[in-house]
Amino acid sequence: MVNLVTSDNESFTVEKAVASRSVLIKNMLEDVGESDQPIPLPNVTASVLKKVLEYCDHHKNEPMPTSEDLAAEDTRKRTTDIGEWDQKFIQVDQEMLFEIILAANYLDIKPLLDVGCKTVANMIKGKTPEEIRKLFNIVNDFTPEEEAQIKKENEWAEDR
Amino acid sequence: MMLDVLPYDVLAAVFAHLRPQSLLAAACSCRALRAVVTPKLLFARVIFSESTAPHQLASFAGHVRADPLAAHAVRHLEFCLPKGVHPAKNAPPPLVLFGDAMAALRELRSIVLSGVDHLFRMKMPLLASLASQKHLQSITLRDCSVESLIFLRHIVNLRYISISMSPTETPVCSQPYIKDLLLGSRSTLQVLRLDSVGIDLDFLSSPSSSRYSGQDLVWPRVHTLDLAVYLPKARAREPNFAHAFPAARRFSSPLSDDDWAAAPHNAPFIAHIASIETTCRVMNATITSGGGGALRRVVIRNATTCEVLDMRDYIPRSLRHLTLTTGNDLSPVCFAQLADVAPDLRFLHAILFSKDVNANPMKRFHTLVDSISTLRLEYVAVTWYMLGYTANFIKEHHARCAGPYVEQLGRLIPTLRIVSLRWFSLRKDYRRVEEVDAHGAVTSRFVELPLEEGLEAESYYDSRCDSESCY
Repeated sequence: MVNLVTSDNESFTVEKAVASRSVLIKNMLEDVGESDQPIPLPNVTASVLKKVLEYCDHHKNEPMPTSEDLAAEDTRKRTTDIGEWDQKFIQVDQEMLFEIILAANYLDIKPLLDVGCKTVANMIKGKTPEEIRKLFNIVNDFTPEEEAQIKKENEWAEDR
Repeated sequence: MMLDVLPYDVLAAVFAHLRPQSLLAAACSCRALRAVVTPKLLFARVIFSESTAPHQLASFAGHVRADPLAAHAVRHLEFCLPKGVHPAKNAPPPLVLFGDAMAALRELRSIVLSGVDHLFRMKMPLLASLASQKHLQSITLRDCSVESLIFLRHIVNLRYISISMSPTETPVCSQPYIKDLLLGSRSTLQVLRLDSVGIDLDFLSSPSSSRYSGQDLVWPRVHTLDLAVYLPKARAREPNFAHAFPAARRFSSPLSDDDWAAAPHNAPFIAHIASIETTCRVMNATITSGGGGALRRVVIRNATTCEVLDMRDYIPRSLRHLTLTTGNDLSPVCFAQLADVAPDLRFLHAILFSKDVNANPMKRFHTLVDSISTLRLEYVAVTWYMLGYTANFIKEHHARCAGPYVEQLGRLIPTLRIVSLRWFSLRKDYRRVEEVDAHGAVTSRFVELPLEEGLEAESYYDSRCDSESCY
């Protein structure tokens, strides 16, 4: 079992197989060897870690992505398909979604980071600039001329 | 704004999933996002399809010529001759511009060209600048002509080569140029796909036909290859693989990495064939000549019942992934045999072409369920090509009826995790994806995608399964 301590000082005790989904923790465990020392995670809060561990627990028996998978990454980059369980898992409010992504990035959990990125990509997909602003609460800081200019310069990328 | 809590590399990962249209919309939303998206991400994948308007080509050309940052950002380029542009001796102005712009690209990694012979006839500078791309790793040529192969044969160090010849070409003429292309990439090549190329690997490795003969003899040398060979039916000359693995049989098969390192540089052509996608005959020829030891993935095109039954003599028992493309007549016996032939099979994908409007694919799915129930599969996919059907027909008569069979399959095969049923009609891809959890509970969704995205999703599922099942 591994003991993890969050930034808000809550501690979680989980199976090694679950914690090791995080490459960061896995490497730490390998460096430290057998030890009962709690592992501090100063960048993750309890509410987020709980969610992340739920993901790790569900996927604990899957093989870890290998370097070959990462090389094959390019070909599947543009598909935004997410597995059924993952899709339900990631149905959270925007703030939590970004927190999960940040945690996955920090803890180095590639598949979870991927699910998070795909979810954000799906939110953006097919939307107009105005819809994107509304979605993420963005203030438009372009003048209408500037916006037209960007469109004009990049006509090649427009819908056809 | 919420988005700016994410670091740049995470944002880049998000935007890597999006098409140029969405990237452009994001760039137009505010300055911060524009700074993230342009030019690097926006220009990373450039795709020109049939429906591209000539002024869009001109816009792209103008931009990359004026902005070196944009030009250097282009990694992947797909190009297809736009509709309404007729192949002629002289290219229309937007195409000329576009071709010139290609010369400005320095960092291109992969390119897909469709209708290459038209481009060539128009004397597009595109092809000339391609040969000078230093970092190119992947090249896909559709409707390729011998002329364009002559042009491209000096490109070296490719990892991925896919060539499909234009139907009007005589395949034999292309062989010397394809051989040059392969030799140039002999130490880097990982995937080779040849479609309608009557290639004779014997020819490739026979010294007398090579300008690399005598002392300078250097074979293409590929460690692990994904090989796909399709032969046009009419000129179905048997490919001869007998000499394609000249030294491979001197070593334990498959070659260990040490064997491989110790092998003289001019020795074996291919150490492992990791996957093969072809007809039964080509596959049998490959495997009997010693290339099949490491096979994990087999894709068989145009399979008939007899051929599949014959296959049991060739398939390595370690096979994990099998895809069969077939007409209407595949007997369930084929599937029932698989448990003996390939006991480790985890992934099964059947692609069925429904020619008969009144045929009931569900009936066949029903028999399939019975015959594969003894396999310990994790992933079952069935794809029906139903070109003449409407969405409603597919939903009512097929997608809905599938439920009970899928549940039955989940009960019979406890290891099953994903069942993916797909119906391709002319313009759309309808999919019903079922995920079976550890307790046998099935969750399903029915999705409707534009055909292009459907094909992308298909390759996603395939690659996902590959990464899970092939180790």
